[in-house]
Amino acid sequence: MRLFEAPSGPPVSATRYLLPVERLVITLRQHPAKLLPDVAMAVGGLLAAIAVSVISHAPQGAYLAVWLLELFLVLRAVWHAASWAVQYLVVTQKRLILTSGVLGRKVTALPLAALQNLAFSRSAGGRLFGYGAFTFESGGQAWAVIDYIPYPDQIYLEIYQLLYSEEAGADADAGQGGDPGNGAGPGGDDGLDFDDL
Amino acid sequence: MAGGQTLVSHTDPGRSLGGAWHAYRGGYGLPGRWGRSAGFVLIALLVGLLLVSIIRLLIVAGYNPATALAIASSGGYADTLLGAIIPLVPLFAPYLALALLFFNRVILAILTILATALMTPVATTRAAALHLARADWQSVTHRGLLAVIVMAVLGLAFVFLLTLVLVGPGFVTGVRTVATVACIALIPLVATIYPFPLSNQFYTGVLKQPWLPAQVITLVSGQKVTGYVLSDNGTWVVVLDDPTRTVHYYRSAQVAARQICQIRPAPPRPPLIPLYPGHLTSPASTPVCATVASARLVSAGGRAR
Repeated sequence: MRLFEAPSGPPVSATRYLLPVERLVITLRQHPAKLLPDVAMAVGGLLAAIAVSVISHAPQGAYLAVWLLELFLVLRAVWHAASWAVQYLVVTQKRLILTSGVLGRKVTALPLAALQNLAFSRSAGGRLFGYGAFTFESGGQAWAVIDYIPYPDQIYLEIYQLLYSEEAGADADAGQGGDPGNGAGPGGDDGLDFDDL
Repeated sequence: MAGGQTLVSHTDPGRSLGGAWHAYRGGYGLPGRWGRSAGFVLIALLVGLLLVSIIRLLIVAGYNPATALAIASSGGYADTLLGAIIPLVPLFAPYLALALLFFNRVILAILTILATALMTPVATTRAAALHLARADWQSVTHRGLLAVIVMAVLGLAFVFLLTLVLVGPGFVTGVRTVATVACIALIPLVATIYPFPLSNQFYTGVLKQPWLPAQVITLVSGQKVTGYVLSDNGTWVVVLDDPTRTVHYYRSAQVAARQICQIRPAPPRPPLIPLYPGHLTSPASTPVCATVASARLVSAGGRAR
């Protein structure tokens, strides 16, 4: 069952870290609402900079400082937008992969088996705009958060769907004596998964 | 971070989920990282403070290590350090407040603004400062039609975005957004009311000025010495002579009178919110040392011994 489909084809920057035997299930960016504060600061800063520039009696250095700060805000917003555009969350049948970095590249992979305790929360704004936060818990303590996840309900269900498919597959393997040639693994359409390697 | 933000943030109680964007490091706990950072900052702070006090001490001593040692043994390093910082605090407090606003430390910024209003002398009177703010607003609103239209469009866009921020990321993020914009809007006003000291002479004067008040010391012989009393233990009075920056020891019995003075005349300027004692209506002024030294008689009110 596929609960979520990426609106467009997965980007190469996100899929290049997949193994040949991995099946891509979800590829997504964070919700654009993440960029709202930066954009609001840049627009508000521009308004303030234009407003104070028409005041004639302030020292010249003040105007320079105002426009330098506004430039900083705009560049920061652009940088954050660029960062947002290239960072992806990729879920395969085995891993959750996080890629980020504009100039450099950072790739973090978490095995799905480690995500058994996945908490999910949505703020009022998150419900309005359609995003949520996943909190990974271990030993009763939260150790990482992925915020601004779009379609959080579907993603949450999809991840648990993968987890339970994995367990069901493992149970089936155990019931059949662990025959490695018995067909497709959990969610594997091509008949190959990590257990076959 | 690898050239940008990362997707995962470690949980940090007290911070909104959208606010924390630390790089993910599996199995590497937040307390460990914070502990190491705090330790490094503490060491850097101690080393920095030590260097600041040594540099200031040498400048005050006219770059003479013997004099610097004499001052340190008489006054102590703590005084040196405090004396290096205290004169600069009122001058830079307004700009510190703006920096805190810009970098979203809103509560600290509000406290600094309050402290600034209470202690930093203003270049204009309070009425003139208020008039300045009104004039600024009028000059903004009475510009050409194009400027007003551009500002109105930007204003509407900002209000819309701010509403989205308040509804979405939350109230705290909204307040921080407003603080950053307010910082930019306040810069010209602050720069006018609290002019930023840009000349080298200002900093040279501040750094050369010891942390102690200048005094005119009248000796029993009638000689008057302008300097800074480093210590007075009842037997010896240790004085750093102002013009020569040499340390002199006088027996206490040799000192007939001492009067606090200021080396350079400075006009008394009140802060934006002055809190005078009941019997005063303006800042009390200290006489200039040269005037006191040239006077024949030392006023009885200024006698310390």
